[in-house]
Amino acid sequence: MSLSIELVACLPNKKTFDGVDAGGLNSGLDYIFDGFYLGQPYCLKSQGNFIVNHDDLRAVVGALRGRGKKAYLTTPAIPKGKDLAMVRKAIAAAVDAGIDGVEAHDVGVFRILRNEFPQAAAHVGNFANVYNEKTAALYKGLGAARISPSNELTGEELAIVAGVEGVEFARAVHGPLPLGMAYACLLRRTGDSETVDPCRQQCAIEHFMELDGWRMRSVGTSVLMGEDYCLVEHLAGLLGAGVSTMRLETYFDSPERIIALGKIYRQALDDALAGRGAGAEHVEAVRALTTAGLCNGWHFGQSGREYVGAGESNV
Amino acid sequence: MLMSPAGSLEGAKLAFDAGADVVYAGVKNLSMRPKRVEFDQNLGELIDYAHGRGSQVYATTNVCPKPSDIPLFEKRMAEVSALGADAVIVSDPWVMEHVRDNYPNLPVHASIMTSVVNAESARFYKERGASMVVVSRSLGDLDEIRRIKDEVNVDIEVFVHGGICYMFDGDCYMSSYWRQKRDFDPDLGVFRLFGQNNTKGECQLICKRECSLTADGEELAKGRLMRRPDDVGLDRLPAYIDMGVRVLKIEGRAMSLNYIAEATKLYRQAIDLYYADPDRWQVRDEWRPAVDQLIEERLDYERTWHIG
Repeated sequence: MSLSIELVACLPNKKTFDGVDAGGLNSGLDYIFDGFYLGQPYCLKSQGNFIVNHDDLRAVVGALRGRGKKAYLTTPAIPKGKDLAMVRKAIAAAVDAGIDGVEAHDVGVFRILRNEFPQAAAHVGNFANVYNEKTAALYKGLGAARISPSNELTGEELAIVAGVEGVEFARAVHGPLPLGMAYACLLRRTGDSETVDPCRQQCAIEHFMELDGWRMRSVGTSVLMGEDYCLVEHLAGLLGAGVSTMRLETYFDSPERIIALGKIYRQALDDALAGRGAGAEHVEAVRALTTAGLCNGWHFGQSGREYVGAGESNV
Repeated sequence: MLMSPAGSLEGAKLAFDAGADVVYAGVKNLSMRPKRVEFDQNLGELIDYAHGRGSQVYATTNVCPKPSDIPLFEKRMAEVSALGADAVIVSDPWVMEHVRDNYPNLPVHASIMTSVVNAESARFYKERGASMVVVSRSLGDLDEIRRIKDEVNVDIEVFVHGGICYMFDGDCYMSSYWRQKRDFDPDLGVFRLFGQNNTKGECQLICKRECSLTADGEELAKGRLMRRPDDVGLDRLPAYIDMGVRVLKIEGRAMSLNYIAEATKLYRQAIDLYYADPDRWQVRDEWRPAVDQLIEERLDYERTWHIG
C-alpha cells in the first residue's frame, strides 16, 4: 500500500486554530502541516474544547478542508457513559462537516464509530493500548484506518507492529506525551481530600509535580512528561518502520510555538524523505524552544525521561 | 460471589477458609503484580485444591503483551485451559479472541486494565468473547454500573476493597517513565525491559510517593498528592448485590496473609448479613477496627517501598 506521509499537530480549540491560522497562514499553516487533530482528549472542560463546541468544530473542519488540509477529530480518552451523548454529537458534527477521520482512544467510542458512523475513517488512539501486531491486526479487521500504537513501545517493537499491512500507523514525535489518565482533576482537588473544586481552567497554566529529583507535568486530569518528547532526529527511522503520520502533541502549546515546532519538524521530515539524514540543527532548534529539556520516551528502551540522540540510535 | 486475592497457595487456603468463593491468581510473568506473588507450576495444585472444596480460581493474565510476549501468551493460555481454571482475566482484545477461539470452555473476563467506564466498551469486550467485565475502580457512578449490566447483559465484577490507583488502570505509564532498564530475565531466558507497568506489571507506586506541585516556580502544595485513600466499599455492598453484580472483589495479591484473611472475613460477614436481613442491614461500628487495621497494613506495605 502506498502511503502519504503526514505531519500533523493537535489543536484543542478554535482559539488555537485561529492563532495558528493568523500567525502563519502562508508561511505557516499552509506549508507546514498536512492536517490537524481537533479536540482535547484529556478533559471535556478544557476551554473551548472542540468536542463540546460543535459550531467551532464544523467551522474549523470546513476551513481546513477548504485549504486542502486533513481534519481529524480526537475523542475523550476515557469517556464515562454520561459523556457518550456529547461524543456522539461531536462525531456527527464532524462527519457532517466532512471530517477525514475520527480518533477513538476508548474501545466503546471505537465501536460507536464503526457501527453508527461507518462513513468516518476510524483511528485507534494511543490510549487504546495497542502493544502488539496481533492486536493491530484485530483493529484493522474491525475497520480501523489508522492506529497509534502505545507510546511505550520501543522503535524496534513499533516496527513489528507497524508491519501489519492495510492500515496506517501514526507515532507521536513531539510531546509532552501523556503518562496516564487520572480519575479526577488534581488541580481541582483540595489538599489530599477527595473534594473537588469548580474548574478554574488551571490547566492553562503550566504545573509541574516534582518527585525526588525528577518531575512530571500535571494538566489536571492527565499527567504528562516533564520533558518535551522529541524524535526530530529519528524521523527517517520511523519512516523505515512503516509510520506514515508524524504527530506533534501540541494540546497545551501556544499558536506561536505550534508554528515554530511545525517549521522545524517540516524541515526535518523533508530531509528524512529526501534521504538527507538527521541534522543536528533540528534538535538544537527544538531545544531552543523549551526550558523543560528533551527526552524521547521509551523509543530506545531507556526510561522515558532520557534523551538519546541520532548518534546513539539503533533504529 | 466474594473473590479474594491469592498471592500464594497458603494465602488462597486462608482466603477460602475465611469465606472466599473464588480467588484470583496471577500466572507467572503475565499478571500485574510482582513475580513473588504469581503462580507457576503450583497453579494446578491451587485449582485442584479449590475445586476439591467446591470453590473456583480465576487465572490472571492481564498485562498487555508486546510482540515478543505473544508466544508466551499462547503457551500459557493452553496451560491455563488444560489445568481447568474457571476463568482467565485478560486485558488485550487479541488475547480475548485467542482464548475464545481456541479454548471455548475457558471463560474470558475483561480485566480492570481495560478501564471500562461505559456500556459501549463493555459491549466491545463482550463481542471479543468476554463473559464478565470488571468495571473500572474509578467508576463511582452506581447508575452507570447498573446501566452496563442491564444494557449489555454481561456479568459484572467490581472491586469492593483495597488500594486504588491515581490513574485509570491500564492507562498509567509513570513507572517506566521514571525508571526502566534492559536486563536479562532468567525466567524467560531473554533480555527484556524491566520497569513497565502495563506490559510487565512492574508498578513502582509512583502515585503513592510524595511530590510537590509547582507553577511559575511557586510551590502550591506538597505531600502525597496523587495518593487516594483505600477503597472501602462496605456501604456499596447492598447496591451491588441488588443490581446483580456477580463478583465482589478484594484487591491485594501482594499484601500479607493476615490482610487477605481479615479482609475476606470482614466482607464475607457483611455480605452474609445482608442476605440474611437486607432491610435492617447497615455498616456496623464494630467493623471499623478491622477496616482501620487493613488501611494501616496497606500503609505499612507502602512504607516497605520507603515512600510512606
